[in-house]
Amino acid sequence: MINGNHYSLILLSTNQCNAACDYCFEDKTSDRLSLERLQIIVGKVLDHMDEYQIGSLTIHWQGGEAMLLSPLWYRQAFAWIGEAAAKRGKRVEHGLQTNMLAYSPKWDALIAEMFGNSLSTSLDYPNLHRKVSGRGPEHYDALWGRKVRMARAAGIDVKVITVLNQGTLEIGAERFFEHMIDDLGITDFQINTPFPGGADNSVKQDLCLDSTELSRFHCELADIWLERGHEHDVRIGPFDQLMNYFMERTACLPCIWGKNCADELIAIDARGNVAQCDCWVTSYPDYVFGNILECDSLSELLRNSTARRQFSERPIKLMQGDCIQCDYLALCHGGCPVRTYSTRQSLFEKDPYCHLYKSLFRHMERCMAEVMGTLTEAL
Amino acid sequence: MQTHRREQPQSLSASPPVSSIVYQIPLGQLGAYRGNPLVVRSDHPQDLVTQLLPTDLGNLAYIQLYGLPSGTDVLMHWAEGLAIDLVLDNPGQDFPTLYGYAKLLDNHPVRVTLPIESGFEKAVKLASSLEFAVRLKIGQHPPTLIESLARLLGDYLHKSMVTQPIECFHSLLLGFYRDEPVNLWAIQEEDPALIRYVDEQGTEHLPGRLGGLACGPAPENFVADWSNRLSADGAECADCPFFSPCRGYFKWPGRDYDCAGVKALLATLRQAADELRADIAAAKSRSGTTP
Repeated sequence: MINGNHYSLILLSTNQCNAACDYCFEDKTSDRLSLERLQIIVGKVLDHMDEYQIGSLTIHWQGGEAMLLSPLWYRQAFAWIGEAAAKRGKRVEHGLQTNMLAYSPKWDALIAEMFGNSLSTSLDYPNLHRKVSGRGPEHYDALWGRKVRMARAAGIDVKVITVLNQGTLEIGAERFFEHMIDDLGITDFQINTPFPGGADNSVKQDLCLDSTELSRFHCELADIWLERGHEHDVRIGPFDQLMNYFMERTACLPCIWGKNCADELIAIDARGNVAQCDCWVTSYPDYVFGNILECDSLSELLRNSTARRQFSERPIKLMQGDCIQCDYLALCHGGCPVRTYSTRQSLFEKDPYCHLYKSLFRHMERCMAEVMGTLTEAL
Repeated sequence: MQTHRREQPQSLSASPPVSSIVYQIPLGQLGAYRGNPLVVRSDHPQDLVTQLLPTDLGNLAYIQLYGLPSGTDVLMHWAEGLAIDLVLDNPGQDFPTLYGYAKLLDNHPVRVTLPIESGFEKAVKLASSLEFAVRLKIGQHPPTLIESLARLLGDYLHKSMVTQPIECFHSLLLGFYRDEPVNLWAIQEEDPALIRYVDEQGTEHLPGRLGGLACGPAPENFVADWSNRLSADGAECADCPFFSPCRGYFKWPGRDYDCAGVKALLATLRQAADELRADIAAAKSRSGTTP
């Protein structure tokens, strides 16, 4: 939170990437964070936390590709951040999002120490867009699969984010589930919807999927997961958290459905630019809040940013539209700003995947009502 | 509403005498009422932080923010756990601004208080969606607004997305469910035996809709006197099945107000409480535990 009890920071240690995915929303550069710059950035983040009496921080390390910096660099960063935070009485946790292409066993000790022996990576099925420059998706899949197997063999917990595409809808939920679980052995993954973020290209023009097909896929996958997944420790986001929500348990819903993401997190890239999240920080200069290396105070930067104010005002303005009539307002709040902006060229419209969200919420609510009814009957 | 109670500090002021009555005061009257149970209101969050002393906190039932103030960040880590009441005077127009206060919920129970008027349903919907508790300033409303209240009551009782209390529905439902006596005047914080309103000049008034009345010699007897009079007069209240929780609440200020609509609301609540009690008893019976 920006001024709650916890602070979430997406930190791009480099804007450089070793992949060349067609649908990437980032505007990649060769910038990498030096340890000196990292110290300045983290110092100002801790100042901000002091000012707002925030006790804990999670740094989500990303790129570009985060593993283009060395394990030694991260080890030094980890030590310095830990020491600086401890002096201020703050608690810091670290998460890692990586494409894993640069992974090797020399990362294992660091991943265990800094990231709790867990990381998150990305792969789509079928893979249409993820590539290394000059090579096809099959090469990427093979390389990625090999790295994931190595990491798993080292005991690392590998979570996956997968972006749906037209091919996914065509193969259907059953085959998708089998591939992820049976073929790849992935038991913890999140499905994301695509959006044409960043600079335009021909692939992005066809990224958005038919809402009805997408809804059907989600509901079918949710049913398969409920039948064969969740009781076998398979976690699929967002189904698992929606299940928690509708069963009145504590739920950690994805950021796209937050009350107001301006209150939840910020991203800082390797140049020091500050923006709402990684989807914005390199790609949309007009929506950069400022540069943390060029300001005296992150708190001031955030308070005075007209760009940030637009994010804060987004849900307020959406309430003038039909979101206020929606049965699922409490779950969604108008959805994701970047999915909206990249398709509607405006922040102040609701998420283009509204139909999907409502269908999925309704489906999960109905499923959970049946589960709870069954449980009550069994009492 | 969850309230904030700490060890009672010594009174810092001898006048007026310490009592069990909660005084709803403007921040400017704090000096005169220190040591009493208080609700302190202000439209300047920073002033609340500056002027309320740590020793005052134990006497606070809650603080009330009116005028949709900015600058509430100062309240985030101040007196964590202290309840906050956010007053929406124009709910149909101002409801979207609730987003700006949602982060207070991280460290405070926050309730939104609003009048029943055009557009109030949207405000309740958003407040509930943001997980604020709600207090409706109910009264003698026309049938169209009673219909709106009936729809809202349906949502409160049956929609899984409504997870926070909406008063007065919530306390009435609990009272009916537990078969405990409830007092609508108290639920609505309008019973002069429990609460008094103090204006900017320091003059005490009866609370809420009674504000136009003089305090009189025994204001704490108002509800009993009023309900006894209605009952003795043989008015609609005399044979009303909800007279006990209502005590003539809906006959104020106009004694001729037709209570058919509000009686239907109360009947819905009582029926829901009966069904809930029966469902829980049946579930306990099936599981072999004593209801």
